[in-house]
Amino acid sequence: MRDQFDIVIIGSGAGGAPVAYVHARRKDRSVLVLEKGPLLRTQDEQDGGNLSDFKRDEMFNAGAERIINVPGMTNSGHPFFASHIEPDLNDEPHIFSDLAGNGPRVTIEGYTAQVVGGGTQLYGGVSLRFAETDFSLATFNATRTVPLKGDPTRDALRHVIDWPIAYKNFIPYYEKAERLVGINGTSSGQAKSQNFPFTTPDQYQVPRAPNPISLYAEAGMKACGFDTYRTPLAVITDHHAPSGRKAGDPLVGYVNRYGDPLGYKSSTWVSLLRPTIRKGHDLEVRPNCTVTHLVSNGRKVTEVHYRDESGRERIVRGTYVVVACSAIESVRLMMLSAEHDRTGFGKAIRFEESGSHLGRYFLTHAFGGAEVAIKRHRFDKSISLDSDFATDACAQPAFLDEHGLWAGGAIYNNTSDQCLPITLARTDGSTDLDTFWAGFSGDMAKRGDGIIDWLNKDFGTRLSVSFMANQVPRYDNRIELHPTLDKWGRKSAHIIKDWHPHDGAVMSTLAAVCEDILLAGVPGATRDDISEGSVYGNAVRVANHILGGMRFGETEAESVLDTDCRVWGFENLYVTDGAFMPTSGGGNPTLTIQANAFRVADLIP
Amino acid sequence: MVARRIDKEDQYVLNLCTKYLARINTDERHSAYGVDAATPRARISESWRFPVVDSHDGNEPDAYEWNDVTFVWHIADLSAPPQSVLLLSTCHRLHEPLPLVRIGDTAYFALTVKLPKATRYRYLFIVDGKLTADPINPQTQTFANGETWSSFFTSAYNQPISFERWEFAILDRLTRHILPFNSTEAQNYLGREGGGGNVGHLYRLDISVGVANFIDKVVAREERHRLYAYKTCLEMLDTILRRRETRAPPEAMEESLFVELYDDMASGASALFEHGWDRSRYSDPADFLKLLRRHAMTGAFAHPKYGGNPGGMAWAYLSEHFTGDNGKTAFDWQRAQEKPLGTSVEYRG
Repeated sequence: MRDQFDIVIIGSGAGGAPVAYVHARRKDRSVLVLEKGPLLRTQDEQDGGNLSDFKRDEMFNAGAERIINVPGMTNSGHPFFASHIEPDLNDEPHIFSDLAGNGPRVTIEGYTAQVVGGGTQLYGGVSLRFAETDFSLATFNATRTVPLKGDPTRDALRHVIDWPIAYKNFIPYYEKAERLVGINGTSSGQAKSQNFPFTTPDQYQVPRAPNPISLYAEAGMKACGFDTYRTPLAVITDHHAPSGRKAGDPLVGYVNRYGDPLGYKSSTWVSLLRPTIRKGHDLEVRPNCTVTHLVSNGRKVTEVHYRDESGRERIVRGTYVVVACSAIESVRLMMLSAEHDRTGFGKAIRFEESGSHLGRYFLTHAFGGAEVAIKRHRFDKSISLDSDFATDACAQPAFLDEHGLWAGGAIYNNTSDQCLPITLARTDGSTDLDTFWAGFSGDMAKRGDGIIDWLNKDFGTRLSVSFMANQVPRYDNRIELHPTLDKWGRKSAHIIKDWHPHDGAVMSTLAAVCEDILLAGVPGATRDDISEGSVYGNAVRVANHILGGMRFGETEAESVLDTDCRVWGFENLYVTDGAFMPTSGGGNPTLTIQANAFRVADLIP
Repeated sequence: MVARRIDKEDQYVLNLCTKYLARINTDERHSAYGVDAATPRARISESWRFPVVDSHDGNEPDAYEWNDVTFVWHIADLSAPPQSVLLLSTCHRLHEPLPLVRIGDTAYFALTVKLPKATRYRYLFIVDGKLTADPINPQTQTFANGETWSSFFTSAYNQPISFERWEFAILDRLTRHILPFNSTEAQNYLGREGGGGNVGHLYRLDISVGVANFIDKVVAREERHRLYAYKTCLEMLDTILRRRETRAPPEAMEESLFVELYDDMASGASALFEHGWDRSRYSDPADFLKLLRRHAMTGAFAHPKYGGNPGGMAWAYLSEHFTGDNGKTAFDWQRAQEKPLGTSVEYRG
């Protein structure tokens, strides 16, 4: 088995695959991708077979009950429900505590997916660019005189730094990602295009007709005076030449939390890795291989240690090593490597050193929204993708000034949510991924006629509008190691985080906007009909947007990575998942992670 | 029955194995409620997945009627792997064991065979000449002679495994009361528009039977840790019902008795404990009702291969009941599902 490559990449999702794509296509360049999860195939790629390993099956989304059985956790004995490509929490727990000391508890929040393609196999595909101000929130706020809501001690912005790269220099990588990944949407109406116009034509494929229920959201956005656009989604609607995929009928509702058996969803496997391998480039993907630690000599990472599919210890070497296991797991890998060699790797990455930023400023998004049941109308929401219409109105400086917010975010409607019966029941009243079924199971009035009444009210009628906004970075929000050992005898990741009160202000403001959109867009709806809310107060929620922990910056004094996303202290170690972000951006992060990975790929010699 | 061997890519087998079997940590974290305590499977993840029952991937006209079943032997000590692993099973001629083949130099021997859906078999492995039950798969059958064989069932199996007839009867009555198909509105609707009452009759009859069958299977495999709850609580419920109504067995009792039972369990009514619910055996009747509600909803609306929702009947109920603004159904489930269950021209299941 080969054990020497030009580049070894750990993780095959949004952060890893773009680097593999670029480098494997360079002349005489060898690339290895190590992936913890399996390689699951689409229908057209099985060797002589007809079927995919992904299914349109609600039991694949979150099937049988499992029981948390990790000693010392506050929720030991509680059930959890995970998809077939999320980890067994008893084998590899993510452990969560809040800043008030509540916990520790095991959570399914904060995992993406363990499979070739990573989180891009399960995500809804929302592929928004960040706004220009998202890259420079320190500078943007430095000159403002508007007091921030929910920030009486004026400490909200204490840990905010600008991204150390210019937005205009990043735009070509957004375009590259949009072209190569395969995204449908529209650019007209995106406020981000005011200063940085999209190419003509833009890189998007033409979206399919929206689900009719989404037209209420569009009408509401317009009635509020907002420009709208079709939400960019990583699903192909037409033949996609870069990846050699043919279009079909992607509108089936089995989108969010489902792998796509037909490969229309643009996971990094079908869009970047598979076509590179098919073209004969020197790219090897080793699935079912878990990297345990990195070994260094001076400023160079010399060995990548991993467990193969049988659990045997293996070593592979790369001239360059790229870590992209999703932010929590990437931070954990660095810390495990540091514990393995405190004076070498540990010192080089400043593990547990005073003033070190390793693991700090862990981020997700401030998110939430509003929801209404549309009376006297019903729609087949199972003929849909994840979202149809979006607006950038709440990321504009005038809006932020008016409401006293440090940063804004995107708003879009959800289309496929709760379109299938089991999902409707298991998410009924649940507050996060850890509380699936808790609402429905205990709502004893939902029986017989009670269920009919509930379905009459909610099935095919519910329209939700969500926001995804920047979270305030805090030094105390962090990833550490927890002594609980995983199935390989390695310490687990411990996520310690909470919201800043200003996050609460951001969320309540944007949730109110979502409510206004529904009020304006749905005829006859009153505020009493609309429920609005956010994740403020529920710190464990991360929406699988796992960001920060190794932010990039201009100096080692303020960051873990340099502007090229290379780890300070190492010559050949890069990080390309969401860990690099110093602020979380006003939209779903995947496209930005992909674009940044393309950028970093160009910077790796 | 003569199983036909199916060739699978090595990657297919490894994808099924690594997550669940490969590890060095020997903590017993996979023995939910102690159900597998002190056994090897307490240390591995989701042992119930083995042997792996998957859709049959073939071009035959009747391919949909079959499963591909993959048996796995995990080599515990790679320094001393067995020379041969054979499958002795009622799914093949018992005098003609089938060899499992080692996947390269990995820790796994595997064999995939094509078997009909809705069947159940038992098997043993012969490892270097020695007969043994499967140390991974927790499903077993023990016979009068004391022999214990491993067992498994294929998709949509509908014969009882976990429950006795009387237990099915109570399950059936309770789940009917939870689900919408027996509601006044559903019956009125189905009687009026569902084919003169015939379709309505089918919904009422078959969906509840399907749900009880789903529960019978899920506590035999994925959620074995819940079997105790059912066994214990159904026995107590039987006692309570017979104390409350002495003239008829539970399957023939008036609907009102099950309504009362449901309400008492939901509220924890003192009458329930006076009539036979023993807190020392299962503390909170509402917890059991929550479990039953989750399983009822899942069993009704999960893919038919899990044993409930026969022919997609519960989906069809939603499809008929809910009409969209365009006059068509508001739940066209068939367009996304594989033929012959659904009508998708792309997705093959």
